[in-house]
Amino acid sequence: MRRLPAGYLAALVVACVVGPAVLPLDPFGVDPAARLLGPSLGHPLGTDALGRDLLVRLLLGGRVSLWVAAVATFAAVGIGGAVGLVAGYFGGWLDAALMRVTELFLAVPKLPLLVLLAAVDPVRAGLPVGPLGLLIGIIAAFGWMSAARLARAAALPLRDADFVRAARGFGAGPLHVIRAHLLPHAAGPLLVAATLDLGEFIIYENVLSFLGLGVPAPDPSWGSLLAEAFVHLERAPVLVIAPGLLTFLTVAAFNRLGDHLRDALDVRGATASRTE
Amino acid sequence: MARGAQVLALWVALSAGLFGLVHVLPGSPEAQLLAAHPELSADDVARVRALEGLDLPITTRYRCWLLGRNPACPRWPSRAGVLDGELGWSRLYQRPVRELLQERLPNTLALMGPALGISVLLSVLLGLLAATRQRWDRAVAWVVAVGLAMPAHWLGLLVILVFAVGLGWLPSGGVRGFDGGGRGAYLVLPVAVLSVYYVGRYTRYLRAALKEELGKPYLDTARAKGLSEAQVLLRHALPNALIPLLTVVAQSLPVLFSGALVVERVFAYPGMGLLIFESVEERDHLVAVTVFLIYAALTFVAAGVADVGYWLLDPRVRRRS
Repeated sequence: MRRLPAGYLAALVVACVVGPAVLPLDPFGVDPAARLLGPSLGHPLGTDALGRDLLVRLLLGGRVSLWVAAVATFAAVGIGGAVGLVAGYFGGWLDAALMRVTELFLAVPKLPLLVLLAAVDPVRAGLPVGPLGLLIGIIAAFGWMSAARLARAAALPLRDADFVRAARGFGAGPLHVIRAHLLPHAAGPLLVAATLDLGEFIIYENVLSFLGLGVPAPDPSWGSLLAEAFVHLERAPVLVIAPGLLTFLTVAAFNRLGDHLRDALDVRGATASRTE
Repeated sequence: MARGAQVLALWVALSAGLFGLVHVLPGSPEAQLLAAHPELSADDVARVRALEGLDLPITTRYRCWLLGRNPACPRWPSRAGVLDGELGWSRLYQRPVRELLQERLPNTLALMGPALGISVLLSVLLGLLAATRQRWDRAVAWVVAVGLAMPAHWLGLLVILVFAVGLGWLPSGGVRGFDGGGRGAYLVLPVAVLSVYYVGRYTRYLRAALKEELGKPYLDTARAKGLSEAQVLLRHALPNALIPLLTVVAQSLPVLFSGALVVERVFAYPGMGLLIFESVEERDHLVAVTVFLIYAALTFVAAGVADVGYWLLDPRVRRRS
């Protein structure tokens, strides 16, 4: 039971990475003669409204969803880790200010803001990113807070520890102390934050793509697959059930894994998903 | 007084920033108008631009929205600005924003109020069960895990599939029947979906807080006084455990206003969430600015509510201040 989440996630990643490459199915091949078909030998899960195979689009969509969540997590843990370590190391007014900002970001119900920002055209706004980059950017911009809190909690009790004072005595600057002495102690908490963030960000991607603001067509993602299937709910329920089920299971697995890691690494105060 | 000036300055800065941001979103209103009505001539578009004030510089438009009364301003039904109690003009609906809010806000309150209420009650019940009955703890942990991992829009689609399409018991969406009746039936599914969403989150806090309280020595004191186990739980442990939940619930207050976007979308429920979404998607600028401003204000208010709540509920906080 304890290994189930990790096993499921490993199998999912392998299937999503390898599946679309080896399956003899075309995720983009439109076939008007094969629209909304039920499961068959040629199409194990049936086809969507344009006659594209659902199974291969699910796997490819998983690749996109997981990739978006993974890159956003990487960025969010980077931002949050930096904010938290700086706040914890320097303390005082800088800590207070950074934590106020963190609280503000936590308190804002995010979805309306994400909708507003996702409507920005990155090219016209002068940002050197595509739509996918913008999506990852806004997810990370509103998802770094748990990493910041955990990193700060790890750094705060160490700022006056003997080994930190020794390093300072040898002339080490703040940047060196944070990188070489505090970061290793924050690695466990940050790993927990990353695992829980992965689950949360998969939901963000799903919601934004479902609203038509995330991954642009024709690329599938679990969210955009749901959006496409929405109108065919009555005729082809499997189109709706499958991507949502994968999302649900994957998020649950990441949450569970994060909880296990938290207990194993004895990280206090980590919680899954405070999304609005 | 200084605080009032600060708030005012912050509000002006925020509204100006939002005004600017909303207006630089790609896709001009003219282009959208032409896409919807390709038969319009260039002259027609120019007339619409003049009527809606689209040819004015953005600073003028901001002044018109805020102050109104200027003869240069576009003549919506009146030239009233925010200071006169108007909130601007919805280009999409061709109605005053104020009217639009008066129509949508009650819908959202009818949805979010019951959902939050049911969620708090249920999570108190589940939290108490989990903290006191070993057998229930695992079941409650499952409820929490499912609630946290469940994408609300997907759950919405599933219940539509089962209860509207399959069983035909309840309507799949909308806010009332063609005869205007049966509102309750239209609320059942969305409220249920939102409750699953919030119960997971609230129960998780309450369960953790109750467990922490139950390990504390003051409960032994209460028991030693001869209180029954129920009294110990309800009079002593529960109030203390409710304090962290208060922050979480207070954080949900802006949602009473902003609604539940994805759930409203799935159920085609004309609440504030959909209004916010449409205003951004359709570049209904003044609606977007107005709703985001109210929503920012409410976020601050909610933080204040949580602070005051702490002050009322937690004597330690009172003593410190």
